[in-house]
Amino acid sequence: MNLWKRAFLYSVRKKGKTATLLAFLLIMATLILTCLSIQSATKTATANMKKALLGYFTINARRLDMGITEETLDQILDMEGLSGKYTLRSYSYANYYDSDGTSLEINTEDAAQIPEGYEHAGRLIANSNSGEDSYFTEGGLELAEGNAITSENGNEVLVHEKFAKRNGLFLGDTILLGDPAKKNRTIPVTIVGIFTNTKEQDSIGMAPSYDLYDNIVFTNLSTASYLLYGAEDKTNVQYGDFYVNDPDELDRIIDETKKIPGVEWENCTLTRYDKDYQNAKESLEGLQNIVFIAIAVVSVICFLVLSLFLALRIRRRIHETGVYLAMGISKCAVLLQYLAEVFFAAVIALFLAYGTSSAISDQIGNRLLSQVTTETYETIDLTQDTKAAEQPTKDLGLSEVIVHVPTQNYLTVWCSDLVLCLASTALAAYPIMKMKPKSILSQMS
Amino acid sequence: MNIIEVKNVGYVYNNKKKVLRSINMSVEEGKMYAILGPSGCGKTTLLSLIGGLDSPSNGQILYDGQDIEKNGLSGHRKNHVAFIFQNYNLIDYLTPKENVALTSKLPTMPILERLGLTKEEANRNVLKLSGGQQQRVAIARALASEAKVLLADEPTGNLDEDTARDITEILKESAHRMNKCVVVVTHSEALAKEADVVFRLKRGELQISKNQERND
Repeated sequence: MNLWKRAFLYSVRKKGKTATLLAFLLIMATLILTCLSIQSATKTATANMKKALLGYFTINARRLDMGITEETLDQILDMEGLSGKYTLRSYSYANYYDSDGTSLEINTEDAAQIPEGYEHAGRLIANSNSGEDSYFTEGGLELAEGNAITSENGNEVLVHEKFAKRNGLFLGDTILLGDPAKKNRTIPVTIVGIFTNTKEQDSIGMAPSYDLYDNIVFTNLSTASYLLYGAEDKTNVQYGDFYVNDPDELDRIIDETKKIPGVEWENCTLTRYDKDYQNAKESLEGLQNIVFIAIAVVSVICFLVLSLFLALRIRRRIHETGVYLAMGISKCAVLLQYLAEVFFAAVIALFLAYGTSSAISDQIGNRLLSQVTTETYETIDLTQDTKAAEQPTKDLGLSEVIVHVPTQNYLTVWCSDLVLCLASTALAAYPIMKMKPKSILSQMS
Repeated sequence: MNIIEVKNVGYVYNNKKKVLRSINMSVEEGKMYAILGPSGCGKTTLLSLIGGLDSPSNGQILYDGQDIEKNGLSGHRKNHVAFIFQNYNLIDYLTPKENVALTSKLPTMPILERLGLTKEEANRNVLKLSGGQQQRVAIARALASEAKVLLADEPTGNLDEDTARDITEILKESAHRMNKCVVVVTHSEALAKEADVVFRLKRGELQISKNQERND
């Protein structure tokens, strides 16, 4: 009778002992597999978060004579690691004239003061897409008529409906924007949209006239570029926000940006915005560390307990060992038989562990991840990133993390568990295997 | 022809106590030998040395003229000798048939039937058999192997008188009809009487005492 049959018969006939071993191995495999699955899920969550929280950096070139030029912009966008998404902004002031050059009326009644030279002027805001401007996304402005400005060029403006009413302006009318610094720069622009405010301006009665909602005009970047820098064919901007693929690479990208020649970088301010990502990452890394420690502790404890369990089991079988040795069955074959018995149980336990671990990972993993993400949402709330905090789950991409048992982890657990079984059996059998057959038989007696 | 020769074998237990002193003996196929002596005189130690369970402190043991230690004790136990123990030493999770199959690839039922076990008993768990039946299974296991030498350590020690007599008969038959060399360690004079040759072991020294050449 070969050792495999002996191992099989032992496993089948000693049901209680096999069931105990099976239960222990199942717990061991489930624990390790669950820990690995959670660790894997946190990695996925980190990757999702990188996409969701979109780290970016801002260049403030307001102090530069010519702002951020198109050439500089092209060089920045060519850098490795940028996602391709970016927004450009410029802020200025403009005097408003009708097409005949007559000054247009602004709201002065609600102003705290009317600065000299700004009696017919207001704030000019230019960006890549007026619809994405914070005045529209968060400030309570909304488009009442016409369209948002979505192109960099086009000499277009959006005006407040009260401003339009006050001056008898309609969609399609042309007005002139002039530089209040008296550089004799004027540019004709067409009204493509009229906006209104859905909530009252907080600073009414405190703000200077040019900052009242009624007096703000949104335009495209080329118009602002002409008024700010006198650039006719090129679009220079004051601010740029550049989004990166991996927030962890922000430092490198900022360093590389500062190496772009022809720009007085000492007069620019480069600011990184990845606090939300860093906070969320810190929480996830904390979870990853805990899970890693858990894997190590579980593995060591399982190894020790399994060794002890098998040592007791093999010790109780010293009689059988002695009989086999007396029959001329080698120590190696006896050890292999004991190992095969453990492997039989381990194989069944590992198959069952897939189911148990999937169920447990799903419950515990999701709970842990949601706990981590809740902390992250709270942090985002504190940083007043209301956009991210409103729908945090969606924004962080964590809702899509399903804690399941990846094939690679499953194979890892198969290998590690079988190695643990091998090592534990060898360790447990060692004291008996080093004895002489006669000593074993005398212990039997 | 001698199948096993013990030459000047001595054994010191734990480097202190001399258990055996310069033992010389030889055994042949077709005979039953008894090693008789009081408890602690070294009978079982001598049997263990002959069976390759341990190595002598000095001297050598030859099987068919070959030193068993040089040829490997595990191989000697597997191919040349078979043990029968006082407490049977059956594997408790196997049936009698499976216990016998441990040492033989041949069908096991004929030998079990020859030793008096029914088919139903042969498929029962060994622990559900009586002591005598268990010892029969142990003998069947020894006989089923191709070993020429059966080494029995107090084979009737745990049995009642009638069963002991039956087992003694089986051992004798094994020697005389199946041409095995049966070496029995015992302190039972009754069992020793049935042996062809009796070795008396006293204070580690061996004396051949009786029944010599009884069958010749």
